[in-house]
Amino acid sequence: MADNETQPTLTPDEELAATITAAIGAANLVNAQRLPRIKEGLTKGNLTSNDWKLFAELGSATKEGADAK
Amino acid sequence: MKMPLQQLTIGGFRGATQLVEIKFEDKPVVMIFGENGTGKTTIVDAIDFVCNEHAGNLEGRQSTPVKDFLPALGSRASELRVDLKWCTGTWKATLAGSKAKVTGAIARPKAKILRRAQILEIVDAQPAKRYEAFSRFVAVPNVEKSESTLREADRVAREDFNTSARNLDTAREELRKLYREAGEPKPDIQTWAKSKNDTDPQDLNRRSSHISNLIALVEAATRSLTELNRAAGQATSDALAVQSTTIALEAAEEVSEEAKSDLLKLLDSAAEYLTLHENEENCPVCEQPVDRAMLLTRLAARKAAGAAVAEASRKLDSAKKQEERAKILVGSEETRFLKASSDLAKGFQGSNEDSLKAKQIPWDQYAALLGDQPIPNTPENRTSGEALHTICADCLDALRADRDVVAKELENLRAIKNQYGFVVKYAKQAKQLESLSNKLAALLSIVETVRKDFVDNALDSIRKRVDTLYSKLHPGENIGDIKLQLDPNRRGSLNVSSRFESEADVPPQAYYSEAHLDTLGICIFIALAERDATSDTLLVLDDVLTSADQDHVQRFIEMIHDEVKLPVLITTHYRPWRDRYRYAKGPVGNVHLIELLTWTKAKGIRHTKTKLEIDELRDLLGKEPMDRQAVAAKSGVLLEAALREISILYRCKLPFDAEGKHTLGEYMSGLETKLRKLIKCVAIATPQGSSVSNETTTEFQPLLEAIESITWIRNLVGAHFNIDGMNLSETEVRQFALAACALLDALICRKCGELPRKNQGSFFSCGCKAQQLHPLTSPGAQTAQIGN
Repeated sequence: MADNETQPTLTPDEELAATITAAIGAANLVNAQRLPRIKEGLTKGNLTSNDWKLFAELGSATKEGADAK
Repeated sequence: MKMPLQQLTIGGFRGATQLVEIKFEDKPVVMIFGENGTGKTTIVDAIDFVCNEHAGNLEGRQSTPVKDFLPALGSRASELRVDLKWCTGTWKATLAGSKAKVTGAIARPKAKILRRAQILEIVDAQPAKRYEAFSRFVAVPNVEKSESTLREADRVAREDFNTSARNLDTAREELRKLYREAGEPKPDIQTWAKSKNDTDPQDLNRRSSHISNLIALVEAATRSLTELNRAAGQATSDALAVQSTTIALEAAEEVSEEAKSDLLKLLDSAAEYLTLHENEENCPVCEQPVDRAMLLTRLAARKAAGAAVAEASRKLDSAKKQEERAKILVGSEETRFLKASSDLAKGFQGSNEDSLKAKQIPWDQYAALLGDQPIPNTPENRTSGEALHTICADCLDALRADRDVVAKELENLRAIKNQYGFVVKYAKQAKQLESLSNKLAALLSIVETVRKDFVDNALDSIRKRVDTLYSKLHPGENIGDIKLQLDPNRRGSLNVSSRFESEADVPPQAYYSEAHLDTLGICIFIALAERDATSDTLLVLDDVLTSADQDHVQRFIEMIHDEVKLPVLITTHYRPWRDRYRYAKGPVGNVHLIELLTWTKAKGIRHTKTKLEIDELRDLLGKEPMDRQAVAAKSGVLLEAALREISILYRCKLPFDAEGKHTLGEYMSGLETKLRKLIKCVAIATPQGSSVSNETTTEFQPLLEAIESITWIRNLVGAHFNIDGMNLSETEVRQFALAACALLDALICRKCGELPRKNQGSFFSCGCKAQQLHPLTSPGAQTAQIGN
């Protein structure tokens, strides 16, 4: 084994997750605060139906609005 | 582009029975030429071992375990070493068990290695297997997993919305039905329903309760009157019983003296006394001695004679008691009835029910029943109560009907309120669910579209690259138009199609020749390697071109130099490929040519730098004593090679030869005088640190004339045994060689080492464009096509 791994490059999942997240952000469909979670969930494949429902329900609410909930 | 691979040291590895060290020049392409069995694959395996921790050809073979067969013959596993020096660091690989152990300072370089055996696998593999090769660029299983849950969320939301919408429709329809039943009041159903919903049902409830109360009062009075009548009947019956039992007693007393009831009582008392006083010997009344036993017997006899009177007397007593009770009960029932009548009077008098008002009850006649004090139990009051009861009982049906109407109204109102509530609730719910469903659908649309675009773009990008490379290799051959498509019906399955002649979208495996499939496989591999490449990636092509005609070899060389964006290490045993570089038919200035010498177990892998033909001629000229024959022969061959290219470029007229072989003299004769005068060699050089280029123009004709006058030297000295040749001086042979070198130096690019062959519109140029050859066409000839 090498002492150092080769330079990390983005996997297709990571690359696509970033593109999708940017598109969702641009469409203003989801609160910007949730975008990192979406990106991570897409990359790892662990977003559930309920997660998506929650994102959609919370929508593009502002931080204050989201916190108020 | 530079060669990042600087040095490779191999010891005890495969064919490297002795330590071998290869230093690489800083040129973008390395070509290692060697006959079969000289160690080409060992070098590639060594790069694979240190860069990819891969055991090369031995990987995965059970019959030749890595641990036993990766070490060179006669070497121990511990002696195996591969050192790789890269522009960014050094890595050392040893064998640990059956795995590579690599140590190095920083991120390791990548080697993308294509071996001969793998070429067809790429094209000819099953779609699923082929997909594996592409999957690292297009497979997005995690995103697809999350997309799947999003699709499920969208489906559920749509179903929920549909359910809610159906519920709303049902509630609306029910409300509409109620609206129709209500006669569709103006202005509209919405206003009506809202108004009904706002209506307080208390009034209706109160009225319903009031009517029920009135009915209850009537029913209570009716029950009370019934009970009174029954009690009165019983009392009458009981009075008659007293009369009849009195008559019966009088009749019994007439039958005997003893039957008189007072005597019987006296006899009972005497018998009781004697029974209680067993020792009494005298009569307690006359105090005379008595026969007690005989007296008791006599008393019993006399009592029996008056039993009938006694029974009659008992019945009379009983009848009198019953009569008394009946009278009390009648009184009680009369009082209760009067109370019920009073309640009835008060209840009915205070009612505003239309059905009662219609009766016009004369309340002044029932004033006694309306007082607050208990009503005296008099026959007048009872009669008054009975009369009122009769009137009220007549209202009972109307009251019950009213009660039913009110109950229905209440039920209706409740139903309207319910349905209106449902409409409001489901409308709100449906709106929320529709919004949620729309958002989820929009999210799904984005995820699906971006994912499909991503995969399509990735495949399209690879496809375009493959097509570019392939069309470079096979221009105008009616093949190509490569398409890569995911099978819509099978997950992880990739189809490849292409054009063949006039047919589009055909599987290349079905129609392409093996050579065309080979080059397609190579192009796909290069496209994938480029896509996966980082700044530290080396492309290794291990003996991928085994046989090809000169044109295809030339195009392959051009593709490697002009199109491939990675540093390339090529191994080959295909001599024509190597020799094109040696005879300046490729940009040899950008290639480090390495030649492997014959391998033996004792010497292992050996290599030397491949010399260009012109360099070899110069070496021969530098040796003392000079090898006259070799110098003359080499000069002749080099001149033939150069003039052949000139003849092709300018379409010179040469005697026909079926095999295309021509002598030096024929090439010379083929160059017409007009053309000779026009040909100019222009070298363009930009001095270091300057932005201005210098052009050096050399006329071709003087160089040619210098050779033409002494071409015979080649035949006399360099081709055959010839006595005349022996008479020639060394100076003359040297003059011939130097003239050849001068011509070649004028023609060949000093930068890339290639002859100008590419049509630039008005002249030919080499690959790096630092060398030009004017003109483009021979006087009077058609426009040159070569090199386009």
